[in-house]
Amino acid sequence: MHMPRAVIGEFQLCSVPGNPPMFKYVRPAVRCVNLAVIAAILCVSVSAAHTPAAAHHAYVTKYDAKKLVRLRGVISSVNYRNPHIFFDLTVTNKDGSTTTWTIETESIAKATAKGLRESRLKIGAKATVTGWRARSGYAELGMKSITTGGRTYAIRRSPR
Amino acid sequence: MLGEIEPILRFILTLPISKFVSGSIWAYPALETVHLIGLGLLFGPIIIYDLRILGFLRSVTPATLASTLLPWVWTGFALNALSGLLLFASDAVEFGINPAFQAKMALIFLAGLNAVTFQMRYRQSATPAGAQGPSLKIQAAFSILIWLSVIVAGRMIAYVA
Repeated sequence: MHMPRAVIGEFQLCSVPGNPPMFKYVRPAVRCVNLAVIAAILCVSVSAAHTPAAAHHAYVTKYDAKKLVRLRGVISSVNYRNPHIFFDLTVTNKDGSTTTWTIETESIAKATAKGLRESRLKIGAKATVTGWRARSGYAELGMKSITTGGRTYAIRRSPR
Repeated sequence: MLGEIEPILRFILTLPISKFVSGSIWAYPALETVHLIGLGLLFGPIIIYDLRILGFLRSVTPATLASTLLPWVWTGFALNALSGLLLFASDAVEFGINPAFQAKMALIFLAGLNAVTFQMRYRQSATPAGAQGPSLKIQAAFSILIWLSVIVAGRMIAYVA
């Protein structure tokens, strides 16, 4: 039966003039090339995965932990869905104009566990929302907590 | 950005299956789990085969590896095509405009093209004429690079807009 060779390299006698003969461990050149190829592939992949955006969770990538704000407004639409729940909050500004903020929060399972069921987010209801503003500068908020219908739901402690 | 396919993506959002995946408490995480299991079955055998072509795992012949592993690759591909399609349907417009998702689809196409041309050239290499063009090893290394990129692009969908 043919037995596969498990040899990776071999010892070869190297004689350098002026020095005593010695044995040197020599790896076949082809295998060294292969290792170099694999190493190069891993380097490229790892560096691609380590772009700044991928170093954090999606939430902290999108929202700025330094920009915690409080908004008072009216819930104007609800998209109670996975993987994250979104709803709109229409806020009347000091000059009388209105801004519709897009609020993002957790998955259905996490929101439900914190008591924030779909039935608690009523279109037309007043709500006070705290959260972290989007890095993009758009009217988007990653929700920290919400007070609506006489109850407060603390959803996240930090955007991390 | 989406052009003519946007109405199609908007139509997908109205389908009951789309509403089920996004509205159910368990469907989305369950499909994500299936997608990871499929990834293991798909990518594991592919990287093992490519490593064999590159000169590792010499105790097994490429032919044995191919015939043993290919059914598992197809099983993984089927699981991921199905779970991926359902996840896509749940949020078709958002996925459609996502640059990481677009890159992922292009990379999967490229990986398929690479696999088909590899197989053709691998068969040629057994004939007296031999395979023309660059070394099969380069193509195997390219295969690993593309599939790793597919994983990176897939993971990046949640992090880019």
